[in-house]
Amino acid sequence: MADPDVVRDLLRYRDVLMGFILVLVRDHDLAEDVFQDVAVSILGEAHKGVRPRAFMPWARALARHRVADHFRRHSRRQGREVALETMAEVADQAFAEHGPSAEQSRERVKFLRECLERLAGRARAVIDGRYHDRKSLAEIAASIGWKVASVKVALSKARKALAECVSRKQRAKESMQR
Amino acid sequence: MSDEGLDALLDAYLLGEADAAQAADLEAMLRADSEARRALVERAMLEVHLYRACAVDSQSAAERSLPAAPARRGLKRAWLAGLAVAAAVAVAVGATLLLRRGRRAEGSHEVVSGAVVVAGSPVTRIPAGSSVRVAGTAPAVIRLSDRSQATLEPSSRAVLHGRMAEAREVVELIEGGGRFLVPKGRGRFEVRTSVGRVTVLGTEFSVRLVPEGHDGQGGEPMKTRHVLMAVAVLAGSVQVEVGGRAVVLGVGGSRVFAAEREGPRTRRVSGEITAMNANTLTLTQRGDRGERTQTVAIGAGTKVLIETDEMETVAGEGDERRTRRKLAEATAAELQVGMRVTATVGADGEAVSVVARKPRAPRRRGEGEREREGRTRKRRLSGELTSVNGNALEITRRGDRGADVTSVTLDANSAIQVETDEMVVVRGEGDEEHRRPKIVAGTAADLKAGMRVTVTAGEDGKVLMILIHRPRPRREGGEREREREAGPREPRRRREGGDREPD
Repeated sequence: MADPDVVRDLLRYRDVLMGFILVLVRDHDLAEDVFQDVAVSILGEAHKGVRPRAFMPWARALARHRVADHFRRHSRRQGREVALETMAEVADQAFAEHGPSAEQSRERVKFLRECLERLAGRARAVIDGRYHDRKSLAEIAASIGWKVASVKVALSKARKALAECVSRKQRAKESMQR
Repeated sequence: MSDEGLDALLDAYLLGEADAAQAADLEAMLRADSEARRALVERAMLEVHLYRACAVDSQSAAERSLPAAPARRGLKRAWLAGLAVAAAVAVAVGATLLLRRGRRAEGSHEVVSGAVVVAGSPVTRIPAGSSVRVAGTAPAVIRLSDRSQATLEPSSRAVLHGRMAEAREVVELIEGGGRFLVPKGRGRFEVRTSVGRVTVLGTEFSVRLVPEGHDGQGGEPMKTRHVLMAVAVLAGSVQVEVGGRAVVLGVGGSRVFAAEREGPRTRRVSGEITAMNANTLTLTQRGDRGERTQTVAIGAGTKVLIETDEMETVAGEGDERRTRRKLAEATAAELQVGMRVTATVGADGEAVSVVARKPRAPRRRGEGEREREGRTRKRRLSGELTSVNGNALEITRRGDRGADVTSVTLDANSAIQVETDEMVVVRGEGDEEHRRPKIVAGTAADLKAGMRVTVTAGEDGKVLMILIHRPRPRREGGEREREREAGPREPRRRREGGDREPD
């Protein structure tokens, strides 16, 4: 049986790890594929009895290896591989400094769901199209009769509104705890 | 660069649209500025969380109106994205029900090595349809009725259904993991789990279920909220179905699937064993209202744990460590009349686990009274905090007979708790669920005149605990009267009328 602490940490930190991989590969679908490889690696190591002193730095190092493996296998993405070489280090630093805790990550998803409930109209339509229906910008544009550039702007605004909503909720909670 | 400029650059970068020059600009900014690095992390996490939040949303939508599955860019992607697979739970539950109602398979299975327990007894032959548990520390090798071989890990639990409908062999893995060597033959071989189903024709593969928060003792498996199913194919290929979608894994392939779910509904029953037989325990609870007796079924799947004298430290709520007695795995045969136990009972009435407590040291006559006398008497009052002067507080209770003011004082031992807007579900009397505001620890600075509080104080007026209640929603003048006249109002409808931004 795999070390339960490692498995628990993998489950708790999976979103944070996914975020880190996303920064390296810059494509959510690809990030999910790579995350699968990383999860299998982590479970394999845990099964061998590996017990990292700190889970996230260890998991990020494994993720960097898996991403590099992926780009080596798919050499057509050379541009991104080059970017990886230079970005991996700074991304690692960014997540080491500012990566959310498992609890913060879970709380943000909860707040985000509340904020999404209150998002309506065109903003909701483009967010649903992108993140729920997983459509490309062009597909969203075609489905609502807009130009691609307009969808892009609307998505950006909606994301910003949601991020601000989540931040407000976090601040409100923190002020209550003080 | 402005915040807007950085946001636009991050958007372009994370969506894969940034050119080399933009990527270089961003990298330089990230190297130079910690706040830029923070922005990168937050933007990436928002992207991940949006997919997660919307994926869960889509599952509930799908459950409401099957089969209205959303259009997706590709099966594999969508399927992978749906790591949180509520639908998978529905499939698994449905499958379980079918299995339980289906006819029992013919044939039996043979234990080649290891210790396998059925209905609390070690066995070497396993009748089809039996619920088995692997005892001891070694894996159990079982030759199944179709000549396939299952190697189940220690502490694994499974139901070996045997032949069912078109499947030549069905193994329902409940806990733990196993490796399966399946020779080619007629019909398919299935391993079903709460996460999904693995189907093969001829191959060798392994399946492992890993619940979150598994403490290695399996004390409370029903609290599991996340379950991982790891599938590795050693030869041939398998088809894995999760949430109504399928993916094929070839030789050497391995993949992890996850389900996020509420643990099965269980209830806890505590009491003293006053009678027992091979299949049931009679538990008696004694309290101020007299005795209450309940019967709990025990079966092969029931995990029995007995407290030892050894203590251990485990992670508790909020990552805090707590000390508890170490539990040792036991068998139902080791339970005895007179033991105090807590049974976690599943929806089918069978105990999932039974934890037997260490017997309490017998009390001498009069000891209880002496203890009670020694204890400080407490009083509890609720009202409005009308004055906060350093550690001196005044609580005003208003009633038909006027206002009654009580003075109390805070000291270093006073616990201050604050109700939040967040609601939590707790189990109350009779195992009924009810919602109440989440309570967090507060400080003396949180105490402000005008707050509604409940205070527990000693006879000396020292506050033992003070709970600050959430402010009641304000009512406009005459609102209550209008409500009384008009009856309950319909809730406001959301998502109407254009672009309302979240607040």
